[in-house]
Parts: sequence; C-alpha cells; structure tokens
Amino acid sequence: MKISGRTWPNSLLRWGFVAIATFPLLAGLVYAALYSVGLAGALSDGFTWRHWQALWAEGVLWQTLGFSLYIAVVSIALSWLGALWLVWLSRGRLQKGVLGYLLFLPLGIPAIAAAFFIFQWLGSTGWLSRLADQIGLIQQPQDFPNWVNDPFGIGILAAHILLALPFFTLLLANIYRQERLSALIVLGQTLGASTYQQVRRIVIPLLWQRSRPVVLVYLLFVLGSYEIPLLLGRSHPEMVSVFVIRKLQRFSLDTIPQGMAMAVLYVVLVLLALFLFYRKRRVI
Amino acid sequence: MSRSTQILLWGIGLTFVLPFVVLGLWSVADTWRYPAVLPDLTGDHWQRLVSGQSLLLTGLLRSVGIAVSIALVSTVLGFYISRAIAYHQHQRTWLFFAYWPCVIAPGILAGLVYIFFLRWGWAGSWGGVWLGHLLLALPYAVIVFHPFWTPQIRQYEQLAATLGASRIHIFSTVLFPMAKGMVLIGGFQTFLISWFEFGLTSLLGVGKVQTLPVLVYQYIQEANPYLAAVAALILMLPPAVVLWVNKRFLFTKLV
Repeated sequence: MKISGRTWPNSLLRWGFVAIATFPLLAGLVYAALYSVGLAGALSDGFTWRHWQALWAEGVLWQTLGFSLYIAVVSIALSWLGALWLVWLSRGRLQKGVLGYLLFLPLGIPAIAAAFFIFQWLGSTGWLSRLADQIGLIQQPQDFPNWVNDPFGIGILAAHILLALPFFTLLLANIYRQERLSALIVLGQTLGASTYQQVRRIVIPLLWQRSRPVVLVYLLFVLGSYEIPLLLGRSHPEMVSVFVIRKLQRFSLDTIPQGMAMAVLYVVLVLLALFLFYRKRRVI
Repeated sequence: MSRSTQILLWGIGLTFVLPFVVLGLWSVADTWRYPAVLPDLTGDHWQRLVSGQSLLLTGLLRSVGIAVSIALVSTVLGFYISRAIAYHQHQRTWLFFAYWPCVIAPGILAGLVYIFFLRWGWAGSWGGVWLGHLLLALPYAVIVFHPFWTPQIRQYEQLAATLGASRIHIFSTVLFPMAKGMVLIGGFQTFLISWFEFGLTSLLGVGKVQTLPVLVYQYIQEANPYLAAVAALILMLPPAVVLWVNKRFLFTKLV
C-alpha cells in the first residue's frame, strides 16, 4: 500500500494550516500597507504618502532600523565569537557535568526576566553599583556608568548576550563534536599548521558554515525583540517592535499609520531575507 | 584543559547563575535600599503568591491554562500537519509558510492582526490571546516535527498498512511510539513559547489578560521589584525543572 500526501484529509490539513498560520499575517500585512497610505483605517482620507514621508523626513525610519540592526549584529557577533572562544578553549567538551548544566540554565530565562535582571544588575542602583560603592570606587549612584537606558544600548546588548552566548556555545560545541574537529585539528598540526592557522582555516570556516542558518534566524529574532529594549532602551532611538507597538497603542489615531508603515517595511525586509536564504539552502 | 582554562570556564558558567541569585534575593527582600549589597529577608512576597493576596496566583493559573492548552493543541495539530506537508511533493514550498510567523517578531505580528481582533471582539479576551499564541506555536510545532517524517518512517507506515493495520492503528502502535521523544520536546517547547510570550499578549490582551510575563512588566512599572522578581522566578521554574530531568527539552538538535 502506498502512503500518499495527496489525500483529501492531508490537503485539508495543509490548507487549514495556511489559513491559520499565513493568512492572518498576509491579511494584516495588506491592511497595514493600505492603512499606511491612507486607504484604510478610521482616519483614511484617500491615497497619501504623508505618513511614509513623515517617517523618512524625521529620520526615524533609518534610525529605528539602523539601531535594531546594530543591536542584532553586535549582540550576535559578540555572542558567536565568545562561543567560538569558549568552544576552542574547552575543545568542544562543554556539554557534560555541572558546567554543561550551567550553560543550559540561561536557555530557560524569558526575555522579560533577562531584561529585569540586567536592570537590577547594571543599573545605577543595581548590584554592580552597590558593590562598587562598598569597595569605594564610587560615592553615589550617579557616579556609576550609564549602562541601562543608555544611547549605545549597552544594557540591551548585555541582555541579548546573556541569552545568546550559552545558546551559541552549546550549538558550536555540538557541531565541534559532530564534525570531529579535534581530529581535523590534529591533522592540521601534523601538517605543520600553527594555532592561528588551525583556527582561521579549520575551526572558523566549519563552525560558521554549519551554524549560519541558526545565526540568521537568531539575528531576525533579535532584530524584532521587544521586551528587552522596552525595559532597557531609550525612547530615542527605539528598536522596531517598540516603535511599532508604541505607535499602535497610543490614544491618538494619528500615529497609527506610521506604526503600520514601519511594520510593513520590517515584515517585507524579514520575509525577503528568509526567502533569499531559504531558496539557496535545502534545509534551514 | 589547563587549570586556568577550567577556572575561566567555571567563572563564565557561574555568571549564568547570577540571574537566579539576583532575582532570588529581590523575591525575599524586605527592604533593599542603596547601597546595601544584601537585603533584609522576608518570606512575605512568596506568601502573597500562595495566599492569593496579589494578582500572582491568578496570573500563574491563567498562564498555566493558556500554555498547557496551546502546547497540547499545537503539538497534536503540528504532528499531523507536518506529516501532510512532508508527504507532499512540494513540501519545501509548504514548509516555507511555517517559517513566516516564526521569523517575524511576535509583537509586530500582533500589531498586524490587532485590527481584526478588535473588529471581531477578540482583543482583550482569553480566546483572543489564546488564538494569538496559537499563531506562533503551531508553525513552530510543524517545523519541529517535519524532520521526523523521513523516508524510513514512510516505509514503516507502508509496511504496517500492507499488513492490514488501520490508520488509527498505524498512528497508535507505530508512529506515536517512534515519535514519543520528539512529541515531548515539541510539546514542551511550544509550552515555553506561550509561557514566555509578552509582546503579543500585552497587545492582544489590551492589559486585561494578565499572564505572568505581563505581570512582571506591570510590577516593574509599579516600582515593585519584589513581586516582579517572584513572577520572573515562577516563569523560570518550569524550564529549570525540566532541564534537571532532560537537557534535550530545551536544546533541540538544530544542526
């Protein structure tokens, strides 16, 4: 007997899935696009680029997208490089014992709790500041460096790295073992490769190639993060999600089209990135 | 590994315990004024959870109810849908649809569907938030279960069918026993998606559906770090317990 995917229950399941997972998103995207050009919504008064122009003219568009991209790229780059360093130091033997358990712990921390922890840890009255006061490094909370709600997003970066570093460490350690990198490194040594050459020519290319899809997905995840920048960020510049939700939640209906415009741009960019990557690879 | 490397790795490893330590201290702090490094201790905040004097107990029950039901529904549906997708000749195209909601920020996804939820009276209701969580968890379940449907599994199905097993028999005696581990992992991870969700819940719930993550934020806004820490620790408890049982539940093999 042949098991076919083309029976009517299977077709129903597939189309039902698209109706649940994809249709609301597509319908919302079309509605948001119409809203952003004045063709839908409570205050619609005919086609206009006014809201897009307002985003563009005030520089909000590039500042918001740029800041989001900066946070995503820097936090992922630092986490990946940190993970690479840890995996190299431990030669991939990180997943067992108590140390392995400790690495798994942050995977169960929700973003809102991570943000709250960073706030209580790095804030001007946080634990580090209290320790600095006790050992006489500072005299008052204001003397402590501004790491939360700061213009460079240091608190946001710290929270993302807290969550991403252990994740990438476990991921790279997994690949290290699967690809038998230890054996390849020994081979490299036998052929006279220096430590730098081993890392540069063997370890980094292999780990990067295998982890790239996950890095991309994580990058998109950080790009759209909400709780962490909401608690640890400033009102200007904002990350995309914070900007969009703030505009949508305001009492004034005037701000909604700008939020919709930003949401449309973000979704189109993310779906485009996904499409390009998905087309190139057999499996994500 | 040299001794200095081991010390360094242990130092970094112990850093990951700090969130539990700091939030744990806040949850049992009576008063913790600057510049005290350690607080005066009290059990009052946890007692308020147990006695139901705060919103915490109802928030906890609400979160458990939503997350458990989302995990059950998305796991069962995701299992069948992933099979329907995996056995189609254009499976990659179908699977592509599953990635859409997973790569878009939940808050922005909520922003896009918000108007429909408002119009149909779902915003600010349990059902609306539940449906919003399903929009995130179901595609994720499909992605998790998709790799299970290998040609070998298909051959087992064909063999069982050839030997006269009914469709129900094939699922109950062949497929589910083989997929048990993956179903448990998928179930727990979809539970976590719903359990941790904040942006979508706060927007679609319009502040009326107060799950634990929403309460953490609310307590922070009210300058009540004590109850915020209790709520945050309750959120971190299920993953920590499950981690103790089996690490695989938190870290699926991704590559």
